[in-house]
Amino acid sequence: MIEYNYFPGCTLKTTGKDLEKSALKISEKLGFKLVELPRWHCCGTVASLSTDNKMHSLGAIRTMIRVQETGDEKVVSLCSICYNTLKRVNNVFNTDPEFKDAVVKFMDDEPEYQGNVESIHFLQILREIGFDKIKSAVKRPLNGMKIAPYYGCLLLRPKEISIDENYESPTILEELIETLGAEPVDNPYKIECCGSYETVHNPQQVASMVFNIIEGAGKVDADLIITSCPLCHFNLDNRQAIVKQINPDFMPIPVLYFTQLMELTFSEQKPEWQKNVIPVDEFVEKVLNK
Amino acid sequence: MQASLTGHKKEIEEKIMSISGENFYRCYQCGECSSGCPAGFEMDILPNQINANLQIGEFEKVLQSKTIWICVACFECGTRCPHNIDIARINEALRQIKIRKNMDLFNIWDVANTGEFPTVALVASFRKFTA
Repeated sequence: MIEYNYFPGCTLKTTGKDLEKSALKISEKLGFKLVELPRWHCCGTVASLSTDNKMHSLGAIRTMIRVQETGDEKVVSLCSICYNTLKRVNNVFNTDPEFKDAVVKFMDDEPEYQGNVESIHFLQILREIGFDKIKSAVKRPLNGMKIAPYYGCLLLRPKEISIDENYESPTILEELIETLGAEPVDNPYKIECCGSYETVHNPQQVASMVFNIIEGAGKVDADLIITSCPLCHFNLDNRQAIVKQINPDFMPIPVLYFTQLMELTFSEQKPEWQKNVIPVDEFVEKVLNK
Repeated sequence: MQASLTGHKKEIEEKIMSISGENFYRCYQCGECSSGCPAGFEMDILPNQINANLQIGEFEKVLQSKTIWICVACFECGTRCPHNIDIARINEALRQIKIRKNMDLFNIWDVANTGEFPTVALVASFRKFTA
């Protein structure tokens, strides 16, 4: 079985447990294994946007040193933010000699980082193993279901790190939805920001942004929205409650991680997940009773 | 033609350019950034207007704006900019100029009882609002 270095990041151990659990299950069914790094650090969450601040990149570099120590040069993330941060910090390390020099000198307690670690997102492994193989693992095809993909920002932007060649109109999630037997529906808000960490300071602002995204999916009759990021998932699910308070006519749509949807179509029994704010039970029952 | 600035204004202009690594004088006001910005509805100065204000030396106005705290760097603006100006970096530089004056704008205890948040949202808040 092929093994990949797996970097969970902070949120997959707290509010995003379902993303990790479902991904670990489906990988074994698809013939590969995610092996959690024996030691890892916070990725730093957002790659520094200040040219003169190198401190914010050290978490990512340390994690990449941990990957380097395994002898393998790839590291897989499930969280879009981790994928993005590791990839961008590595790009800066390899293109800015002054940054590289300062960071290497600062971390002289660590083995010297060589700059060779490649950050990949779980979706890229799926594309590599092929949608045909995924299709053969599907036990409960989602015929008749309409599913809206939601990419958010950090899988696609800045464009240099995009997991899809077409960063303004990606298709990888649509391909996955089709593979699982459902119809992917087009939401014009699929690559718009969900409001991100403003959810801490300004939940109302995030609710307005989430409203656009859910309405976009609602207009094309989506039964479900899928996403890959634990922060997008939180905002899309949780902040629909605020939208509903402001607008009682609002029709909520349940949200799952793409890995949960795969787990559901791959398994015989009902998967056990954390409780969402917008219940997913009705959707899950529909799939199970097909 | 660039306006020639002197003294304090020159210093701020240089600071914004050196922290962000971006040159706001290259903006020609096409408005792609503002039409794509998903948080524009909350901003008092739209992304293209940030550049316009910086070009005429209205640094204080921009530093006092709500906009710089609303931007979460989704990179929609920079992705669509025909001149490849990364406005998210300009906003970051403006925030840094404020918070590097020993000013922390995020206190975890202020949100301790306002609900459960994903860890990543809290870490990102520290990153954005503290220096």
